Amino acid sequence: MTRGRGELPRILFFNINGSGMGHLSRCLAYARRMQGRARPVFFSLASAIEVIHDMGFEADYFVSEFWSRAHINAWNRELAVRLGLMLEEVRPAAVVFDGTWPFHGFMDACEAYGVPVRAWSNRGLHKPDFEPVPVAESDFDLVLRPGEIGERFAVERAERPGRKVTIPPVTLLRTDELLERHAAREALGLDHDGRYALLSLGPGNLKDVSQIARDLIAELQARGFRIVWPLPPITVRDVPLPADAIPISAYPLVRYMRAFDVFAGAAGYNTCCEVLQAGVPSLLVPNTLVADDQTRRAEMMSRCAPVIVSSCDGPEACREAVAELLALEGTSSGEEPPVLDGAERAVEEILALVEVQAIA
Amino acid sequence: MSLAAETEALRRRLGALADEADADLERRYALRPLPGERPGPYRRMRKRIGRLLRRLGLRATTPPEPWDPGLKHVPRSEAATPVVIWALGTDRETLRTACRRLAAQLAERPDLSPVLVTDVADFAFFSRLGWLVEYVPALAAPAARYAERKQRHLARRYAGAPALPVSAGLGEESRLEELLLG
Repeated sequence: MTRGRGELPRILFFNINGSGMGHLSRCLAYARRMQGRARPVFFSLASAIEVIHDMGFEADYFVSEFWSRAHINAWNRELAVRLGLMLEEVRPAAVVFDGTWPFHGFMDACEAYGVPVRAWSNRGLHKPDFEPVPVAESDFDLVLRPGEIGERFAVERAERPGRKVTIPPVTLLRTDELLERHAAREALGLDHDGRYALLSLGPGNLKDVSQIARDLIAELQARGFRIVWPLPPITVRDVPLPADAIPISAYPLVRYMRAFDVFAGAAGYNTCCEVLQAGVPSLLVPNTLVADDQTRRAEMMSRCAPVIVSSCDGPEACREAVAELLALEGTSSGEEPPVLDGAERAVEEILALVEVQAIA
Repeated sequence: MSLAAETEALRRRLGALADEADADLERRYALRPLPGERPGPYRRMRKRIGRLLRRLGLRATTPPEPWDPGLKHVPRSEAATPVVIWALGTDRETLRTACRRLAAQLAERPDLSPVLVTDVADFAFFSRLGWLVEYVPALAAPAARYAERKQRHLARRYAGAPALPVSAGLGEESRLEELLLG
């Protein structure tokens, strides 16, 4: 698909800053599948701009409402101006918002500029007490609902505006891009015959994970594991680690996940998809302070992958969880691998609308 | 050029950039009122009277909430004022060195909210500094003017705040107080 003078259509991704990097990772998943057919540009509220650049995309950053101390009205006013400036210069054919609540400043900037195609990627599985968002899906040309494990592509509403589709789970990398165990250990500088546990409990910005980390590390070390702890690029305060834990900076982590004998982490959308892709026995520790129902997601995961679910609140709970986790080593769910082509499906939907708009 | 002269030149340049900023940008992207429930007759009448009084200059207009460059997770005083560290065209290692030194000095000034203006994407490092980061990326055509326009907008947004060149964090001795007063 090209435009005037052979230019690819520019797609502007707007990702919010959640408790982890899920919104950014999902936008990156879409952007990677678009390469060669469109030119993705990012307006990111998540501060991990270097990971966007490392994947070959242009990006700007604006502080999130979650971090900013500005009054929400002042923040929205400034957001509208910053986004407006970017829209005027980038002149995108479509804007894709990934987040739960499209901000006032976002909606008004898109309206004032006259964005040709607006898409909203809105992951579901909210907790039962989640308040409905006062933004109409019909304010978007397309609503993408990234599905949970096992969900398949389905058109929920065909008419525009507000065409709504469920897409299968979205993964940043295709499964064939994951490194196998030896290659992954080589890349991370780990011994080929060591026993390694990867602990990725989230950046800790919203939930203090230091106690769970201490208990799990103690338990896993007592059972002969060496601990590898990724340093998320968006962390504002690092968790104090024991001297013999190995900190790594690696993104996307899933590329290296098969280096590990076991994994323990939060049950965010992307982590769960990655656990499924990598097939590593995993302990999921749901974060109950976020909008999505991580407990439910983790339980769904435990039915189709080698996964244990525990809140890990206290040394005893950690001991039990680790014992169950180790019992999973060498087992397989025996299930057929689920469909994980949500990003490809999303891109087809977005670009089809861009094409229709260009013809119109 | 001495640090004081460099600081003075930077402030003059930022003043010029602020003057060149697109003053209409804020009008073009002004927020529209959120659609709400239609108020009752009494509330509508009060609103009309309020508008009339403001037009006649008999009632003050509530000023919009100001932009606060502080971060929620960084303890600073409520009334902290911004201090802009203008660091464009600096390499990553030099910038890290300057930021570390400035952070040590600014840690003693909870009345200041540092704002780092940079074109270096080193956010894993910046996130741990506790400063607001204003990134100025270079975008390819047709957005080649973006960086220039954003610089002008930032100069306007932080007009009046003391600005420091990145070299303020590279000198042998601490002259922060002097530069801030200058």
